[in-house]
Amino acid sequence: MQCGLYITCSDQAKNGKTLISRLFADLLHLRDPSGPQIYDTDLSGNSIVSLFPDQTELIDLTKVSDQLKLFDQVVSSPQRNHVLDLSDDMLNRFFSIYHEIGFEQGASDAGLEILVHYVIDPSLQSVTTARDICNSLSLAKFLPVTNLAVGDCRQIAGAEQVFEELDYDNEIVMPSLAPEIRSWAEGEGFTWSGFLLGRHDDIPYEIRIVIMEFMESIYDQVGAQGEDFR
Amino acid sequence: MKHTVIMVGADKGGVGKTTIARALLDYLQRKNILVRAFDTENPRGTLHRFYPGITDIIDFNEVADQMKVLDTVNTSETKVTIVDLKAGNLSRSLDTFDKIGVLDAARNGEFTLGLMHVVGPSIASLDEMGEVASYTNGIPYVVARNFINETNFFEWDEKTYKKYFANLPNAKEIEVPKLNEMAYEQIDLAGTTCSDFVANRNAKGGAGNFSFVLRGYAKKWRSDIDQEFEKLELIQSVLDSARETTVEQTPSNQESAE
Repeated sequence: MQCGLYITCSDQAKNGKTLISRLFADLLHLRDPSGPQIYDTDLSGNSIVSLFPDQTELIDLTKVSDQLKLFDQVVSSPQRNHVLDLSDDMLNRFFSIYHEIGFEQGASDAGLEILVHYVIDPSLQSVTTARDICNSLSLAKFLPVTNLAVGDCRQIAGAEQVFEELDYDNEIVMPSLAPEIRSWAEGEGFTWSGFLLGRHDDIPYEIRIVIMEFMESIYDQVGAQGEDFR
Repeated sequence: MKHTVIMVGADKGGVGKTTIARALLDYLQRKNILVRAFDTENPRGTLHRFYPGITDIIDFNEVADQMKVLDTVNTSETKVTIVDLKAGNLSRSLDTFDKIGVLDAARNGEFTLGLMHVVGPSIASLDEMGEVASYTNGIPYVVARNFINETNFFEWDEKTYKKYFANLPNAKEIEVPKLNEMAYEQIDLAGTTCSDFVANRNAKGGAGNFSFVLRGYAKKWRSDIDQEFEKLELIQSVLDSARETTVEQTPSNQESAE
């Protein structure tokens, strides 16, 4: 099966990017025990690197040496999956480098698929940025993500029309999780793969049901892209 | 096709003369133009390191070496000559050319002589333009502003900027864009041409092991500087002449003519 670079990004913070990245990282781990290589551009150390410290490289995109760590490693390891949790402050810089160095073509030549998951905030600006990025891609797949916990941009005046202009492969809609459910899912030691493998039986049954439904929902949508994580 | 000699030079050192000579050679070779080069950085020869097969190291202060370049323009199989002048040789070479009639020969159309004057962001470098101006009448004169180290040319000081750049009626300006430092160093270290580096080929023509990112930056830089070269009539005339020669030499054309 073709491996890929799973990019999760947005122009805004705190809208579920890392949650999506974690889902991909965990599910790809289930597919291949060696797991994906993960990259985190949030240098605070509080993002995905804190959950997968052994598999994650912190990347400072302002440094060329770190750009090499990311892009060169991805292109030279097409037999492995890669997950990039891209912080909002690095969005423009990332895609600027991406285009300048011809990364899309390079990854394609190496046999690697690029999937850009853009979490759209409920604002006109966010969906407009999504459209600009989507239009700039030629070989990568663009997948808009709507996190219902922060809102649907299509409820914003003018944003629905821009959303309809997106040329996307598949939309992912993340159901809203109640705060008490999220606190379990975002708690220390929780992994989606561990949950699937029954390692979190300490979570109350009712909450496990909701978490499972949430996962099912995401899996089904990702499965619609031809992925088979289970 | 009339022979074209392009001298790349500056009196000040460290402004990027050889980088631009390399970029020009790279560009012309990609356009399938037969080109030869002379490196006046005697005896070391930086340009020669990157283009050993087509570059001779010469001492342009020696008459015998001047003859190597100038007395062969009408007999050489190549139709373009690039001369990479070492620091301090620009004014002196032009003065010699003026005295022995080379500049007049070029003005009279015996061959094309172009001057690519590389300037850096220093007053000393910019002052050279005034000194060189007296020789450039009737000669294609290009001022190459070297931005490779991400600098500016006193654009923040309009008075100074205008003093140097707004009073060059016959000069064509090009900008040498910034190249990422690591990419520049990697190419330098590898001793390859820019195009070989981009294609991931080492100096011996074998497979290279160069960074994808740095090759990407080099490719973008090459594309940017190509656009700058293509703005120049001097370069366009070389390309046009090469195209005409190719058309003249195709068998079908010869048969038609017969």
